[in-house]
Amino acid sequence: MSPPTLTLVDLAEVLEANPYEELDVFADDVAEIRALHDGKDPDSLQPLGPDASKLSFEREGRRYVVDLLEQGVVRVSRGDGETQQWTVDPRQNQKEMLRTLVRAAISAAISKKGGGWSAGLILGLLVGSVIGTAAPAQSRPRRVLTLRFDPSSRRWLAYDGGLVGWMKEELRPTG
Amino acid sequence: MRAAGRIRALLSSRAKHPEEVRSKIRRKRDESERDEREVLSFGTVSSNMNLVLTDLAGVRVVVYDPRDEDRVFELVQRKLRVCDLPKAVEKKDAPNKNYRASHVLVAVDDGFDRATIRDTIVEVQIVSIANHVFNELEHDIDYKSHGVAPTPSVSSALNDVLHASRLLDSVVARLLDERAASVRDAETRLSSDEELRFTLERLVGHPLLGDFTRLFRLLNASLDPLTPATIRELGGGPQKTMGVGYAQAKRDAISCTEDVTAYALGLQPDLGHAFSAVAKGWRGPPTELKRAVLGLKAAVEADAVAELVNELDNAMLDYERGRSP
Repeated sequence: MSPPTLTLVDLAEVLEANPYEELDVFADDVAEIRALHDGKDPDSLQPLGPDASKLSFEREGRRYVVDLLEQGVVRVSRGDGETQQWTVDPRQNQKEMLRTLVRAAISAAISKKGGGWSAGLILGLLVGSVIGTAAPAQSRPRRVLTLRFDPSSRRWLAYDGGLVGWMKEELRPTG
Repeated sequence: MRAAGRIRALLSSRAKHPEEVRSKIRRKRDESERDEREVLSFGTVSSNMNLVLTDLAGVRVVVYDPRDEDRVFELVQRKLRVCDLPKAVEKKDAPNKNYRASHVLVAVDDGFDRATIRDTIVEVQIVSIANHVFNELEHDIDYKSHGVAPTPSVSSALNDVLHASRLLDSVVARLLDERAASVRDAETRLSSDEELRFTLERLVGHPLLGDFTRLFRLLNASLDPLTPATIRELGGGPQKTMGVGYAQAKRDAISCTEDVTAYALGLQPDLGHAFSAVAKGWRGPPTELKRAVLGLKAAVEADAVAELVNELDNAMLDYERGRSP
């Protein structure tokens, strides 16, 4: 596995700087998710609710929700309404469920990227509101912005290269 | 049948009622006497029931799409054992007859688990749903008239049903075509600038000018999914969007000679943020599209420079005038 570069702070920053609601990235690109995979317990990530796939973190007094999808995607959104922190119930063995999910997510992300052909390329997808009202909600197009993370400057840049179609399909799994 | 060809159909079956069997045999016997053929006897009927009455059992396949009638007609002939009888396969569509359907006489397979039914002839009727309505009504009126002949107004109304059923067939076919096209448009992602160009030109109905490669990159990076349906809906449609774009270009004095530039400008209210984020990364000399997307600011700066040059020209003229005697 290539060394992870993104941190939760990078995710929060790009979300704050742009008028979109969610940011999707591949699970194996996020340092905190990789830490969970390696058996560590990053302080910054807290469980949110009984669902092991929902986590949260804070940055500069603002809460963010992290959805960990087993299809290999980490979805971050502003969690302004999510103020109540879940108390971990050891009977539910939530930590073990989370680690299982993390393993599945990272494995799916690596599998999606294939044999390392995208090594060093960190992609993200900002997702905004739907456009139009004619079609049923689930098939309406959404505003998005495809991004690439530049590790040297730690900046997100708009990306319109050859992987745009692929990343949109892989970062917005259906079903 | 449905699984093989995705054919939407209603299936029904019936065994002929004993009373109908009796009256049909009686009718056939009368015909044979009248035509001076071999008179239908009890022996003939009991030993060759299948040949005397070929519709003891019947299956009706009512298809929604009239074009499916031919597909089912062929499918039945290919998959079932067609009887070796005259008129075992009939396409009933003679111009001088109103009845429309396809009939095939098939025999129940030798391997069928109920021995008494093996080799029984079954009439399979395939008909569109619109023709089915007409056929049934006409049959009830003409053949089960209870001795009451149809009045002119009944005949006229039946004729209206006939025309309506023909119209319904064509409308159903058009509806299903339109639906299939719209589903295809909504599900098929555009994957190249050529596909985008084709989609836009199809929607506006004439060729378009501009940098489609970069327009595709703008749209692909800022919309999900990017499909023909998305393009059709976006901004109220391409025609309207281009109109908005040209008007904005004129209002803000932005150079806009190409349709693609106008289209991108017309989408600024919805997608301006993403467009400018993407265009900022484009290398090379600024094209009309790039200048327009990066926008108003560049135009305003150009205007400001032009104004400054104008002021300088005037100042120089004043200076020249001041120096002249």
